[in-house]
Amino acid sequence: MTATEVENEIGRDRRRKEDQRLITGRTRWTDNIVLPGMLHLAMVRSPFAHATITSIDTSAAKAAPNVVTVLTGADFGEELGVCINAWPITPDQVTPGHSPMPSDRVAFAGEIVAVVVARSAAEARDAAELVDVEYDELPAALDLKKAAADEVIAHPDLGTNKSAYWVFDSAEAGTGGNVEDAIAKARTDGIVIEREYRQQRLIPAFMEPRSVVVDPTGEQYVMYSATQIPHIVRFALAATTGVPESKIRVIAPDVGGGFGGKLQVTPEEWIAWAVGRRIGKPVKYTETRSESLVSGHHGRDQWQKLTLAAEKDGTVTGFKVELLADLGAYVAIVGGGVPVLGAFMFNSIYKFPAYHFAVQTVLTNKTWTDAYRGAGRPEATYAIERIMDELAVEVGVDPLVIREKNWIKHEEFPFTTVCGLEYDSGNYEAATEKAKEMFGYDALRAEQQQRREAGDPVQLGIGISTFTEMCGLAPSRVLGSLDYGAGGWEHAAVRMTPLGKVEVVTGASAHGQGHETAFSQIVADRLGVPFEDVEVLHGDTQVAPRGLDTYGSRSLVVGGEAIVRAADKVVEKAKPIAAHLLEASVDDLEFSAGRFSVRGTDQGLGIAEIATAVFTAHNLPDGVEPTLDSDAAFDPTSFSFPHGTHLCAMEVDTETGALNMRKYVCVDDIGTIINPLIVAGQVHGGLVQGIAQALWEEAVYDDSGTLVSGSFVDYLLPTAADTITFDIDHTTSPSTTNSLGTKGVGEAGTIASTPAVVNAVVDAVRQFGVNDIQMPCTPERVWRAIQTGGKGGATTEAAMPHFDEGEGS
Amino acid sequence: MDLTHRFTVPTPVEQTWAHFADIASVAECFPGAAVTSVEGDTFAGSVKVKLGPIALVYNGSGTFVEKDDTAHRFVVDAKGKDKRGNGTAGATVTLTMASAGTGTDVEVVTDLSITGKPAQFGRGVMQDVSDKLLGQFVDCLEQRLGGEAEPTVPHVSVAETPPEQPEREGPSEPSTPKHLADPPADDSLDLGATVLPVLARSYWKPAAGALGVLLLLWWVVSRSRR
Repeated sequence: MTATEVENEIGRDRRRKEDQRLITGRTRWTDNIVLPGMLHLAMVRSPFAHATITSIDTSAAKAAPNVVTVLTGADFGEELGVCINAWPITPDQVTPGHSPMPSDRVAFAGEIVAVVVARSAAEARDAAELVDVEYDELPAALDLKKAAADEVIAHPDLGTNKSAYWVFDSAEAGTGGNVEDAIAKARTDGIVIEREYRQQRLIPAFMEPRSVVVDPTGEQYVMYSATQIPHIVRFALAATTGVPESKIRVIAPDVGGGFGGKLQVTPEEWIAWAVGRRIGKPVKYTETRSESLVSGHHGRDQWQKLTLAAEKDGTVTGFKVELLADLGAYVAIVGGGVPVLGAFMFNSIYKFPAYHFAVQTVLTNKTWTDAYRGAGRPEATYAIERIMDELAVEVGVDPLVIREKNWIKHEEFPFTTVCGLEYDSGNYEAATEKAKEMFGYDALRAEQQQRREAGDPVQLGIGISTFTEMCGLAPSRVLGSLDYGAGGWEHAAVRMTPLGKVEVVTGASAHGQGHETAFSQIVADRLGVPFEDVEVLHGDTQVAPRGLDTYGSRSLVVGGEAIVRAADKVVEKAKPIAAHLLEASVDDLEFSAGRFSVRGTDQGLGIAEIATAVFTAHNLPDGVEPTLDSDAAFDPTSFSFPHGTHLCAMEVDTETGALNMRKYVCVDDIGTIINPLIVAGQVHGGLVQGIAQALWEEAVYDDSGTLVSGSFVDYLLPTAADTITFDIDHTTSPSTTNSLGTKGVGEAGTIASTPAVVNAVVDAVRQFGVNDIQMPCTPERVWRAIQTGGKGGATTEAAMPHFDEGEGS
Repeated sequence: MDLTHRFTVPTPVEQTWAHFADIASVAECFPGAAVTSVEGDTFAGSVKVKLGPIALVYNGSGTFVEKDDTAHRFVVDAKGKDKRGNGTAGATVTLTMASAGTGTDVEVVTDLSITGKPAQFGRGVMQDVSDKLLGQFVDCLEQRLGGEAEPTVPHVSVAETPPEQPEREGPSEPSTPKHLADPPADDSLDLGATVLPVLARSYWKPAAGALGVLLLLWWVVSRSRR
């Protein structure tokens, strides 16, 4: 399959070819782009969570120095377009209209009500403060549970906050038994565990704030945007603003991180688009960090009600999941699809005979939520891995024993789960064995025991997370069956230049993943050309006309496979030409290490030579097109199912609640690894983001609906200094859904690490009667939990906490 | 839960109560506040606050929504909007007086609510901000009622009994107190003073560290100069 003489590129820890330009910033970040005559935008945002706009006085702003114009929602008509929801999860989903710039009513604090156009960004921002908006405050729906009870309506015209109720039931689907029966039986002669867990609201907090430049001066309107999804943005612009697709070019230049936060069609993009078209000049908008935290979409924010039924010996007989999911003020592009993506993962790696999942999505007057690294699967993994620990306690065995009793054995693959998904490959025993060994599991358990008996003020806890996830979005048919608005295929093209260099065009749109390096390695092996000779082109709808972009750990498993298939087509096209030039029969040719050679002779031709011959086309066989360039579009038949075992040791100071991470080990099975260095980077970053949910991060609103964690002073984003050195390793059971055997890794760390950490914290203080601590597990909460044997209290939703003394539960 | 301040003034309750007929003088006790007009039980004015880089000018009005001359209790509802769109500030001040011997116990219960930028940025700072605002408000009332009593923190009662300034007395000339014409030079409340201690508390260690490094450098350099 790959070159034999030369060292394989696949598996090499290549340094990322894109880093030099990305790290130095001397590259095409959207905010670096400057066009002739370009004007700058500043947004006027509502300070209220819910209010009617009674008047907007723009006269003072218009009179400000170098202000070109000030526009409000009322100044635009249809051409402003709308922000779309691409995934109505039920036919009767209640979906509020989402104007990029409403003219009548604002539904969350930070919503845009006017835009200032000026000659410099600073002048635009100064003038924005001069726009005088009169509001009539309306009661705001803020608390998720109260909103679900329709106490206050976020969008009065809709009459309810309940957006959609989506159910999967294994009995109805014919993929398993009836969960109510299982629970009823367990109540009589088994174990029933009921828990409610909170998934706090998180902020993606990508490094590069969102930025957009619109250039209406050419034949095509061009939008440069710091987005993960240029192709989908183009589609949505055409669909909602009445500009033909053929007139729209969307470019995602170098993009500095996304984590799902740039998987969106944003009001800022739509407004810049409308303003650019209106005034016929290039315009730029770059958000400030505080705007980013307030108006970039948030993630998670769910309540999880869980009922687990098991036999006395710990064999799980059924699992029932009831979710409340906070959509925020609008149904975003994926919106309610996020919890649905988790629906098939609550059974995780286990053989559950019966399963029921139901989610109620709810509208509130807070920033809208959408995909955030893991999207649905971290929530699912957290719920199941936390409650499996509870089951272990109930049965009185080691949590690993309970897991082994219920998980799918390696010889049982391929395995069809209670959700009807077919897991193609995996080996949970192997990954767990390796992790235990690296972790020194038994020794740490012994130390934990010893500390307990000694009554050490610093207790030790061990947390386990044996996770799997479905990634590589996605089989288009499956997405279709779930009413998702698009497919899940990916497109690629491989072009041979006259001098034998290779141009790879991919529809995936990198924003820090290292595609250029990894894809080059794949093609270098496939075509037997030097790594340096491969150029990867992406992120521009004109360069890469077809694609579905980057999210859901799909770029390698879907996009990579498309590249492989396009490369193979190039070889197939070259073969008859090589035979002709070598005056041999096609059947006598073999291709390896980038060379066609005639069996049993020393005759041969390199693929580069053939590329040149095709370019001149002086001597080609009759009827052969003078090109080697090839396309491929790949639609996977199934997801890929990476899995792994994560072990975490936490030290808890029972006198102060202070936490200290002692050790973190993860052994992930992500199939074939293209570049171990990139994988390590993805795993490390993923782990930190997951650990951050467990220990640090939370988006907090006060009782008037203001985001009070609206800066990095209050939103605790970890740095390398806050974390320890992780011990990461891998086991490999290649995926069968793509020819490279790869599985996604972009989200694995985030999905797996959160429950491992919280399990460890709870394990350390369980002897105080604690069985849950609400995330983030701050020292204060841990201390309170120890004192009260409770959850450590909810987050006080006040900007001025001391005004709410006594209210803190 | 509201924030409560208590203090005692040596004037009899009736006299103290009469003083509060002068709406303007009460309203002006809000730091950085300037009263521009008074009509009946309603007054209009502005409050200036500097929160680091954010300069806020709240223009708004207040009303005596409740005034009970017999129970010596009133409730002022004040609401202001920042003129640069940075949100609103609202306060409901409930003041009650009770006779305590020759003096008067005054209780001020304040419910302060702030929206927009200051709330978003100042989660930690807002607490100190509102404490400072209210602290100054109460100190001011205390001084006006108790005369030259030096600015004291709430809960401390004033011992002396200096007579009240005549021009402040009675409802006869309430609506335009003198210094409305010429408001204090710096009429804005700079919260730098408030924020600094907060920062100091959080960052003194690194700061000290940095200082140490600097000193070391200076020592090295000065030695190498020899």
